Amino acid sequence: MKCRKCSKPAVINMRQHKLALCGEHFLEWIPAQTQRFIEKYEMFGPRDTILVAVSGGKDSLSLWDVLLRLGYEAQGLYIDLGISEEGYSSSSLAKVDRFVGKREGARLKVVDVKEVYGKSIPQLARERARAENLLPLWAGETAHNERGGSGGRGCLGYRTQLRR
Amino acid sequence: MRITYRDKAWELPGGMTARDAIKKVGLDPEAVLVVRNDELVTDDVILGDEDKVKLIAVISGGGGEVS
Repeated sequence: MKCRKCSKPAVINMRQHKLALCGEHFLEWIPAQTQRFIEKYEMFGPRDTILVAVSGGKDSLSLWDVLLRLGYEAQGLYIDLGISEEGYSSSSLAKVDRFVGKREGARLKVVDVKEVYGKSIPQLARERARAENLLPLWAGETAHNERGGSGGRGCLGYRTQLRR
Repeated sequence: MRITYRDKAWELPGGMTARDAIKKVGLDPEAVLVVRNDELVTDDVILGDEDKVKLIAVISGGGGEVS
C-alpha cells in the first residue's frame, strides 16, 4: 500500500478516511486534523494556555506533542497516584519525564497525591474498603465469583459485599 | 514469525498478510497497529518467517498498560 500523497510505502491505512499515508505525511496530517477540530468545536484559541493531563501513555503524550507542534502554550499535568504495583506510577512518570526532556518548551506540573493528601490512592482505597466492608474486585471476576483478600496485586477496585 | 501483543505471544508461519495473522490470533485488525521489526506497517504487508511483529492496541488507558 502506498502513501496517497507521495507514493512511498504507507505506514498507516485509515479506512474511515479512505486514506493511507507514509510516516512523514501522517505526521503532517494529524496536527492539521487536530487544528481543524479545535476550530470546528471552538475548543480554545491560539492565546489560551492549555493544561494537558498526561498519564505517560501514548495517547495523552501524543496529544501534548501535537498541541506543542501547533504552537499552543500547552503545559502537562501528571497526577502521581502512588501506585507501586509493578512500579506503575514511577515508570509512567519516567515516561512523561523522558518526553519533557526531548521537547523544548514542554513544561510539566506533577501533583503527588500522597504529598497533598498524606496517603496514596491504593492506601485510600484500602482504608475505604475496610471502613465500608467492601470486597476487592479482581480481574475477570463476576459478581458470583467472590474471593477474599485484602486488595493487593491484581485488585481492580472494590465493590459492595454481596448478601445472600 | 513471532507476534506479541501486551503480555501474549504467538509463533506463526510466514507467508500471510499481517491482517490474516491478526485474525488468526483472535484479535480485531481494526483495533491494533502492526509494528514489524520496529517499523510501523499497514496490515496488507506479507510477513516473513523471521519477522518480529508487535501489535499495539489503538485505544488504551484507564489503568491499562503504559506503552
